[in-house]
Amino acid sequence: MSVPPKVLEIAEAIRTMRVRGAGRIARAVVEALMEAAKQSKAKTVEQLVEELDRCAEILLATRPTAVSLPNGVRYVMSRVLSTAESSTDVEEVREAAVKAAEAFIRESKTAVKRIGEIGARMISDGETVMTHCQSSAVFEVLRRVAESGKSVRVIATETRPLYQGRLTAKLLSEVGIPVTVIVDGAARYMMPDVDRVLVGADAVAANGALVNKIGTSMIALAAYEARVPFFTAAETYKLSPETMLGELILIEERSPYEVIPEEMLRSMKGVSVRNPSFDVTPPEYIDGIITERGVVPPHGVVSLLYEVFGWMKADTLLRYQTYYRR
Amino acid sequence: MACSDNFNAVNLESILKRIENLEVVGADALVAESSKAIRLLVEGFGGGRRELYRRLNDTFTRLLEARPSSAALRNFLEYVRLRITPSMEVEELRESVLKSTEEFSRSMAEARERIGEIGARRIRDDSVLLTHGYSSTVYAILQQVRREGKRVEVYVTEARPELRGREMAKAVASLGFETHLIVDAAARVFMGMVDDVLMGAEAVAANGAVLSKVGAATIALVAREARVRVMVAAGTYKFSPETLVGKPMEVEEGLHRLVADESLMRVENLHVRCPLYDVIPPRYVDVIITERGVIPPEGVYFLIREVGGRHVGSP
Repeated sequence: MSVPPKVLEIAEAIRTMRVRGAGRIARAVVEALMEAAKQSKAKTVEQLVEELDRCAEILLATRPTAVSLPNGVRYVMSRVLSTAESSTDVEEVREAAVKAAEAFIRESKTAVKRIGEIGARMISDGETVMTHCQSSAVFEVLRRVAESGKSVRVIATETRPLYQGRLTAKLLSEVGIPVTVIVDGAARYMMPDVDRVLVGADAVAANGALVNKIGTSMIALAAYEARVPFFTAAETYKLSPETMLGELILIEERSPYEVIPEEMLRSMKGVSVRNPSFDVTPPEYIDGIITERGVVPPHGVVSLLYEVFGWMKADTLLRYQTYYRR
Repeated sequence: MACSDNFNAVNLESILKRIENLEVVGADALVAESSKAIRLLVEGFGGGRRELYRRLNDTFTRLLEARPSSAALRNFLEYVRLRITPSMEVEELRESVLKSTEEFSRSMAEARERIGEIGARRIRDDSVLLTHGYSSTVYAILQQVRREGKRVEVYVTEARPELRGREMAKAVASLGFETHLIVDAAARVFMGMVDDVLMGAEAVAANGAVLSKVGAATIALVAREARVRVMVAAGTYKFSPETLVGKPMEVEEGLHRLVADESLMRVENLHVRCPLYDVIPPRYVDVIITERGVIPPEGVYFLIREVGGRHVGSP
């Protein structure tokens, strides 16, 4: 049983963050499964499921925190598994996989667009919005605001260690939005000038807690202190259904050399680097979660989870996770 | 760090330029370099007394305007200025300036040592500390902690934009303490494991507000949220008596080039704001460790009244 090179390629791209951002990761993973299904030479349904499972396993092992990743896998695999239960035709299962993957990619793109529409309505003319890191959903919201003729200014944190904020600033300035870049530590200093904080999401837990780029929770706290509303834009495939089953979201810790050049660190005897990629913003600092199904308060996540994932079997949920599987 | 060494050959102007370009950071280096500049001026001066008096005052003003955030620099310049008069002869001016610059620097060093002793008493054995960027005063405390045989584990934030936390981490680790370098934004994640936050200061206002390296206020806020004590180590030479008469503490901006390179700066619609300090409100500060003892932020007012305009080092 071989794993198609395309799958390995995508897995590597996710691991090394050439593909990053929860939405893009999810779409890439689903695309990989689609490729695997298309290229499979499996003779039986069991074989095909096994092959897809193997690919899923490789893909799931790339980034532990991105919940969109297992959700993408679950979306495809739950349909594959339910088809496989009632069919002995490989082609039928293959088709189920491809169709599911196509549907997911389509829905995910629509979700971002829809979030843009909904989010843009919330922002009034002349607002200053602070954002952190890079998020396609946030970009879509701001782009729509500018497109609708409302004026908006953005304060973008540079986002250490990888400076994704610079990219955000560039993208926003290209669509005519004036952006001010600041160091992450200056977020509180700038907060009195801010009307709203809007960030993306890597995952949202059942209690409404937000997992996002490291530093998000400090910005949320600073916003809360200054009574500035804090919103996150999250497609529903970033909700984490397994948190309802008691699972915790694992926070990925990445290489120290993202923080400091290897040579320099070597010269600093006794210094270790801790480099968590994400942090958890407690629900009490969050005013709303903008999803493609509407703006929900953090305590509304539970019912949204039922709505989106309620049909999925618990064992399918737990079968596809980014860590300690089965 | 290119701040204090090998400048014997460099003339007054280039020192002033370096100070103006924010290449000299930290109270010690700033006072040391300013002191050097002033000494260069009086030592090499060949003109009359009026001219020297005027040139000195011009230099004071220029230094003050270059670095309005630094209370130590302001207090230092005041100290030197108060000890010269227009009626002094060139030799008297020279003598006074050489003496007062020397006195102030010495008293700063003494204060730091004393803060080390006092501060170390507040650090418990086996505790976990978090510090932000580089502070020689914090380092003095940790040195004393080491001398007393206590062990601590220290989280050090890198402190953008200058990243002097790297230097601090190296120094702390060399004391033999377990040291972790983190990005500034990770402070909240690790706050749950921290017992005390210990930070330096650039200036302390009469109401107990502390001007410190940008990001410090957020860290203090996060500490307050986690019910972690915030201790600020600051000699009284960093107190700002002028805040008593309503002058606000100034936050310098600069070093934009460290936030965005030239190509990014050229992007239309894109700007950079780079405040170098921020203000920790007094309600987020538990204690301020000074050479005159550990005081609550409310105590700054009394200490400023007590020290008055005489500042540190005066009899």
